Amino acid sequence: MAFSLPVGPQHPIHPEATLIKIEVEGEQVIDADIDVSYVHRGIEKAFEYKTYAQGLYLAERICGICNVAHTTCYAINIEELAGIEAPTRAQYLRLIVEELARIHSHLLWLGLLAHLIGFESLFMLIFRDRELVMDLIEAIGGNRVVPAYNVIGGVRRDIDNALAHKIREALGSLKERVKRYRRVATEDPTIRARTVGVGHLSPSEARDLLAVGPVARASSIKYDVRADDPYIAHAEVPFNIVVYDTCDTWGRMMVRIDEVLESIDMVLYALDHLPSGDFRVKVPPIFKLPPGENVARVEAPRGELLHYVVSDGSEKPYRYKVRTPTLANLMAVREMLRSRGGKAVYVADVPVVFGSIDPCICCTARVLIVDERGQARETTIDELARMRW
Amino acid sequence: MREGEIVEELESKLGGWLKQVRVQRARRVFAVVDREHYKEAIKALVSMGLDFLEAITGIDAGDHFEVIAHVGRDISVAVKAVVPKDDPRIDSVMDVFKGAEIYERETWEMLGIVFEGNSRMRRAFLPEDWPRGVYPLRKEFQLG
Amino acid sequence: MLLLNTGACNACDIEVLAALTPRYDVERFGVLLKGSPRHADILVVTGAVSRQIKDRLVRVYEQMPEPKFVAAVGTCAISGGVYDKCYNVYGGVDKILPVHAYVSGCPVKPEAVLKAINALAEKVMRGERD
Repeated sequence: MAFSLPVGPQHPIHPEATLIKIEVEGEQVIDADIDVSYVHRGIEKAFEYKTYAQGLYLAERICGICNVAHTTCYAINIEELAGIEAPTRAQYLRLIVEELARIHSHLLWLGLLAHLIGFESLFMLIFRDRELVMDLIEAIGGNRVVPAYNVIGGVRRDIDNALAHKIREALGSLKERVKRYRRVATEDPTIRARTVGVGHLSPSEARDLLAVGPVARASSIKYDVRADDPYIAHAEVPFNIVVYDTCDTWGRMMVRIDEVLESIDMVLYALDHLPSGDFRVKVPPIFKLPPGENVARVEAPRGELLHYVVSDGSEKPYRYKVRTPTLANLMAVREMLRSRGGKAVYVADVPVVFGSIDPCICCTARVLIVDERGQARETTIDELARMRW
Repeated sequence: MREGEIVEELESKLGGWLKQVRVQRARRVFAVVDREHYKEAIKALVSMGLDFLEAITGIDAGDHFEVIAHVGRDISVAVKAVVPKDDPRIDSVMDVFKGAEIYERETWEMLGIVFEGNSRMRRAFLPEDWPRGVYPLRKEFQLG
Repeated sequence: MLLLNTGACNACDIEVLAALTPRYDVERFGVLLKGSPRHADILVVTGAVSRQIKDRLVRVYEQMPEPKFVAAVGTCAISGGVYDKCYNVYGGVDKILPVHAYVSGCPVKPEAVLKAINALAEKVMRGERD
């Protein structure tokens, strides 16, 4: 019989917000809830106080890992409403950096998954290979994680032939490493044991709970903003939408690995077909946007990212709305954590299941476990993961 | 279904309850419906194959609120409804998409708009000790 | 060292994480990442300190044994960064705790993190107190 304990803010163990709260019966999770309040920074309100150029730097810091997706989305949003057309060369350059960012994000995730499973050597190897991509982003944009490459009107710097050559070389070796990781992911029994059938999300649940990105694509939903609502140079640079039907963590992992391989090919294609011309049109530092509204969407590494702007004709937005992919996947992961329909979820699976949505949250995030006697204990995702080794 | 067809379908299904509709560019439709038929408009779009709710945006537009449901996959349709400030309620669409829960909770805590039918209403982002009745995205709330 | 994210965009966290990995390798300085405040000498804080996490930040600091040192990593941890004046953040770790090392950057670079952690580790090993 399940025991339900209200786990509100007055609970003796945690006066502050806890990220994941689970109710258990023995080792099985029967209910779960996620609380994202501790990272709330009030950014949408802050946008209303910034000029459009300042807003770009705020958008960049909504999520440090997805920062390129945010600046891409923001730039195209403002450009469309303002009637500014970034040159085609800029759109290709944007795509190159966007896909490099996707590669580093997916590799980061893969490394962290290896860490959660206890595969420390694999974590270190993946992070070492990921450094190849960080070097490229730094060479192109001037900074590693947050290159501030996109501006309203284009990009800040060009890629010349020497740099293009460097990119091709690095991606050539990376491709071979990733193919090896793909083999490991497909065949290694430990990885399979911890991911196959774990964190089930059926296609109809994915639809009903509004999942996006690799989470949705691992549950058979064939939707990718780059193909379905192309932006920047995506209508011209071919790629395959990666879909799996296994509906589990293993599928989500395979989607991301295959997407890395797709992204590598996209960058190489874009380099080979880079249009000549300017990489930026000049835009005054402070400008007014005509009154109106616009929706912009990009495929961030974690899934569909949506920005919505309302302009009142001034130099600052009246309203700026951001819906991140992690938020979209929150309801889905909550459901994934619950044992249901004959599929049990165990406490020790919680870190891997939660991690499978690639949440923008660190491993020190806390977990509150309440059992059937109403006893509660607190731990972190990392500690829970260690319990299983 | 293309943008033009969506517009036609909305016009035929909603008639006078569709206050405004325009195709801003490829894959972008903006519609304004009256509050009582907001859920119906969303259901109509779902039946046209736009089987996804991307987000719900709440706006303090000065003398009234606006709630916008962003519906669609390849084509994004913004369904906007005007919500009076002296009666800030609108239908929940959780029975169309369970995932709408988090977007409705967010809009309620930021603006104070009540989503009728949402049985899971509680805070999403603000701390538990945040003062009652203070809604950060309302224009009267100013940043220091 | 113990890492605590108090409401950040995660860019600094990834660079701190990178500092643990082979290219930067903080372990060669004798510094290990720990899960519990009771085993930590250095508290590495990222983020602008959100309202919700402030009590936990203080509690974590109090649980650390002496001698203990705090590194504020990233512009947000130093001054609030882009979130300055946002309604849910305090805007800087030194509004809550004593800070011994400020590592600037948005995000920081792993090398800068290493330098700060190394400097604090030396203080620990020399038996210095706050």
